[in-house]
Amino acid sequence: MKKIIFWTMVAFVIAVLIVSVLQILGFNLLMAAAETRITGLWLLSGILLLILTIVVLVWVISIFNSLIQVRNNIMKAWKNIDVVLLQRHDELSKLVEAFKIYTDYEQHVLLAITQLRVAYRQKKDSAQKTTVENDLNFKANDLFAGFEKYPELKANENSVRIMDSISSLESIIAGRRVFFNDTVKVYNAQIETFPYFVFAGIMGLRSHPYLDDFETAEKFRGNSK
Amino acid sequence: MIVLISAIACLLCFLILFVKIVREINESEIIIKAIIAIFILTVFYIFSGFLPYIALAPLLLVLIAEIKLKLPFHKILFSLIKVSVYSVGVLVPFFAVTVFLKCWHGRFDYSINHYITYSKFPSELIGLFGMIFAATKGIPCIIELIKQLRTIQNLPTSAIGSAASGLNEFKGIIRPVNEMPFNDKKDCFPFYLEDGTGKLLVDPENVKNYPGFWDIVFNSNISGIHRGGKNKYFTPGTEAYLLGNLRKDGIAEDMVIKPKAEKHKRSFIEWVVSSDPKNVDDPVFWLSTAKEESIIRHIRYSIFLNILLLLLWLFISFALQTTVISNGNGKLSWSYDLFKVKDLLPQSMLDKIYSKPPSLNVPENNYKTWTSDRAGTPPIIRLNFNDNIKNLGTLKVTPVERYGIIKYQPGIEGKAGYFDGTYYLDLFSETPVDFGGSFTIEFWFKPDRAKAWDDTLTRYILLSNFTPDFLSASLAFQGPVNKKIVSLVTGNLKHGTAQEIKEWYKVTDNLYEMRWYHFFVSYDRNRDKLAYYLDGKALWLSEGGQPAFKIPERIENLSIGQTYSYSSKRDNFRGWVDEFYFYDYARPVE
Repeated sequence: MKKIIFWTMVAFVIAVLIVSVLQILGFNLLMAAAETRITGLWLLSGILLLILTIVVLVWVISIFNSLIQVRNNIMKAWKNIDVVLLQRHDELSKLVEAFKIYTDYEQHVLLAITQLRVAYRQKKDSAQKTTVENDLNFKANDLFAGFEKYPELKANENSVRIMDSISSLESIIAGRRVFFNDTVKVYNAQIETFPYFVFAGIMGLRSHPYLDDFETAEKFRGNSK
Repeated sequence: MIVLISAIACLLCFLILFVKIVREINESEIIIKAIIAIFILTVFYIFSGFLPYIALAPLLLVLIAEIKLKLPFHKILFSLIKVSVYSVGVLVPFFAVTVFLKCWHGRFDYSINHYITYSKFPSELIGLFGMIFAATKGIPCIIELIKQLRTIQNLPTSAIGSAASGLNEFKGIIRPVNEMPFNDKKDCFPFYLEDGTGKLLVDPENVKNYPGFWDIVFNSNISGIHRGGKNKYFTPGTEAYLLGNLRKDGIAEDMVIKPKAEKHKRSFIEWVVSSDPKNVDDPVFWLSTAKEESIIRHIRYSIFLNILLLLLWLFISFALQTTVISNGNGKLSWSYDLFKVKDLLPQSMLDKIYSKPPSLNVPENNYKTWTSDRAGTPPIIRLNFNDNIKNLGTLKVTPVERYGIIKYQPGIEGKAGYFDGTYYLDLFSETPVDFGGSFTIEFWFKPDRAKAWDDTLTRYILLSNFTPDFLSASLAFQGPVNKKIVSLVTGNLKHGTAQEIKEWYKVTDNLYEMRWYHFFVSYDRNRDKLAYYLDGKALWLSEGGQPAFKIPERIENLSIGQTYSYSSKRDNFRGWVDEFYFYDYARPVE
């Protein structure tokens, strides 16, 4: 793109040079082409068209670049949070293992968490990963609620350590989640605004889901009941 | 009004330029001296008319500065070319102002083109350099500003404690490490930025040069760099906005931002002596005490201002490549000639505009009428140029085209004959016609645009009446390009001896190009009355007393469009002629 801008500018400058040199030498195209009568209107139209083309080109490039920039910002913000989320998943798997000895606990929750963990790793797109992560959050809330129900588990030193670890990771995630969601907000707002949505459609950009926090998940759970 | 607005616009442009240059000074005092030199020389030039060697002043100063800096030869050479083109380009508004003033006071009679001939300093060149300057400086600057705006708008604020490496936007409070972040000597020292989640180190690494006006590196307030104002604004505890590339240092502090000092310099007006951007580091850096919203507003305003400036510069540069006419009395004729308005419009529109000009808007029945016994008698010659040159009058004449073929183009009624300046029309009469002296000639004509390098005293003869030995009478234009005068040739002229023209009777001036005129001349020999009209306005009325102009009594060889000079074909008439009537009596006018 930089090359296109550069060469367009070069072409513009050359055009200006040619026109001006022609004027300097007195080869006014109006006069020189007595037979064909190239009029000044055509000459000016050409120059105006060139300027207009440059303006439109710059505008289009600017829009494309902006869309690419917001998309890259999401990728970067996602990578920033992804590292911590994976750590949290590991801790969650340990917690799931701890729960397995309690056969009276809802086994489908444990199974769902395990499946979602695997699914998360399989997904490559940040939007899909966000959706899986939101589901995982929702299920993890169930798990944490279950933790409260088992005094033996709460008394277990290993389990407490896991919960502490998850809690500290959560505080790191919280800061990064805010930034990530802000980035998503900018991205979503941009691809839905005119004229960006036209180009977003061409580029196949779709709105990105937000990463829910625990509070949201809990609220959601409360409402669903 | 146009003059006033343009002059004010130019002055405004000059002021903006001056303020911008002054604000940008960051290398040495040499630039100030260059500007002062330009200013003084410009003033001097306005009053004295001395040649605009103004551009040489900054050139010499830059040369001295660069030699002092011991730059390699190719850099000095490139820099000199750049500075000479740019310094002339920057002069565009100055030059425009001088042209306005000079024209206004009538020191400068003809046109810029005319001026070029004598000054050897073409205004076209100034215009060209102005356009190069505007295009190469303005457009990149605008693109850069758009990029800046987009980056700031698209990037949400990061928390320092959880920020990832790379480009980040922070909002926090400045905390010094050891010394104050900035001092009056333009030195910058490392400082912390805290936002409640953590702190990061900003290490300017001995940055001394603040990049250009639009890339405010250490912006004390958003309106620009204020020398010595940094301590006032960037004091410990000040809230600041920071945009930069975050990275892990691992030595002193974990999170470090190191601004790039030089390379990101983009500015419309750049007079700075080139210097090596050695201390480059991170490409994007912005520190400001202003809020993000004001920064965005400021950049938007900058983009708008730059676009305006670019357009203004291009417009003035373009205007300098056109022509200004002054009648020497402080009045400028621009409405038709400046900016080549006529070149911008389609022919049909031009015809509408020029067919009834406001300057010559007189009642159509303003022709002086004389009674005539032969009223109603058809003309002896009538050419309507509707795709042919056949005489529709009563006289047997054979029109013959010389040195080319007349072209037929839309005219007043149907088509008109176009004469390109090389060919003309001969009307041979089989037998000489003696019409006893009384006659009426009326026709429409439209002078074509002048060539850029036409002689300033080109004479076009529209109508001439040749006898074997001399040219007895002519109806002609003379005068400088763009200031043609309808004149009458007096005396008996031999072929090819223009020097023998005794006198040119000026009957009008400001005969504009690309405009239809109706010309009417009538002479009653019995009453000895002569009248010339242009667009119904009497140019010359004579009753009694033979005018110096010798009235032809016979038609042998009437020419339309031919010069009086044999040698120079190019002096023939250039333009359109339509509805040509020749009556052999003084026709009363209705």
